[in-house]
Amino acid sequence: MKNNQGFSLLEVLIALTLFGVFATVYLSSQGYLIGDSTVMRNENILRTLAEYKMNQVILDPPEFIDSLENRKDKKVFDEDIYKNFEYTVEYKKLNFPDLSTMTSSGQDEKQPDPNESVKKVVFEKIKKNLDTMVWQIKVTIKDKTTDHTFSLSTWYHNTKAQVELDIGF
Amino acid sequence: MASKSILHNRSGLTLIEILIAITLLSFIMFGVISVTTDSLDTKNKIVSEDREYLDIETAFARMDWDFSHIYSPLAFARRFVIQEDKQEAYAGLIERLQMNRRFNAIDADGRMIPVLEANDASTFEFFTSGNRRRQQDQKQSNFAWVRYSLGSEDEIKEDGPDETSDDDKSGTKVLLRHYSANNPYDNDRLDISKIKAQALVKDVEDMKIRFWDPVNKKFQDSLDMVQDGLAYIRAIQVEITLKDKNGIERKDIRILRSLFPLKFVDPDDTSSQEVNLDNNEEEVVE
Repeated sequence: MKNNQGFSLLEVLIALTLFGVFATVYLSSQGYLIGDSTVMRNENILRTLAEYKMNQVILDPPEFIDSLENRKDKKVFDEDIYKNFEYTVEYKKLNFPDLSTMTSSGQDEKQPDPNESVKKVVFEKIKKNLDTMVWQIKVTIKDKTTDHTFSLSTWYHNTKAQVELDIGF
Repeated sequence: MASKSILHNRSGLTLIEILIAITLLSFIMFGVISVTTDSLDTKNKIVSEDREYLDIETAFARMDWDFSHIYSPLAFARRFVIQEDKQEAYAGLIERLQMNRRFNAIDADGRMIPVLEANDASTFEFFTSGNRRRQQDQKQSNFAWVRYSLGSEDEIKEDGPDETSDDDKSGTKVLLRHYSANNPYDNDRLDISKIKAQALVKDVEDMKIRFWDPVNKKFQDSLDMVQDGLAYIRAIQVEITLKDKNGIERKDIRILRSLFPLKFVDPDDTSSQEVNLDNNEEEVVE
């Protein structure tokens, strides 16, 4: 109670430093909030556009032939409001593994499966059918101003596939 | 002792030091206050913009749910066509179907085919299977009639407090959703526009709904331009133009797709449309 010294310069400096630290934290958190909001909105636009493009592709799919895998459609949106967004559409076949890789457990089996050859034939047919039926579509949207990208992919069932139901027995 | 070191200064601050401190502090406070005001402003701005954004997102989400569950037997079955020479035998059925404004055709198994309606570019009424009961044991199925349309502000004004009457809203409309899940298979098409509508988005300038034409691979402006469009539509394109708080026009385009798998029966295949209806009479009456 008898202390009548007042604050020393050092104490004032410490107080100011503390205040400065808090002020900086507060300011930067504000900045993050605003940044987050804009980033989120941009991501929303990218997602919306990806869905839009995906719907377009699903509604009007290209012919699913093998050469489609090498095709990469990279274009800018036609719509005026989406002029600075670029989309890429890629197509991939389903890569089905071989029967041996799927069934082999690593050890040599003692007696060979008598149905091995039948299984193989059936599996080959199924694999061939699935190869033509199941495709993957991937849509990537790029914002040309910020270089942010968003991609969306889906399985596509090619209804026009020539499915061979004749197993051969 | 007083001048030895700043750490051992026992004399306190002088008036001039206090003055300097106050000046500095006033600068700092000025900065803090302006920053706080700014952040409040941005917060308000973001909240109001996000609110608009949220409104339109919600509207699209609801539309997507309703439309992705659009139901028609034509998605998986063939239309039942009554041959010329059988007209007489099916006279009763024909009459019943003609009187029914909601379902004017049946498929080969006697299921009713709902009629789609789009009287203007911004109205679309369809039959959805996306209804979910809100209460247990409610007398509802998963079917419902839904109508999306643009209406004036007055249509929904009668209920609830009026918050934004001071703004000049001339020319803008409200996106309305009419929904009826009670007795969806009722023969008399009840006027769905008389049901209390739900306002999804306010300040809508324009809305255009276009319908996917699988033959020409593009969206058409009206249902008639799509083959069998009055009975079944696989996808729609919705374009909503609205004015935000700052008067800037915003446009949103979405494509909504029916989730039903593509059908494997060929609709043009008329070979097996002749079906014996006797077993299905009851279903039709229903």
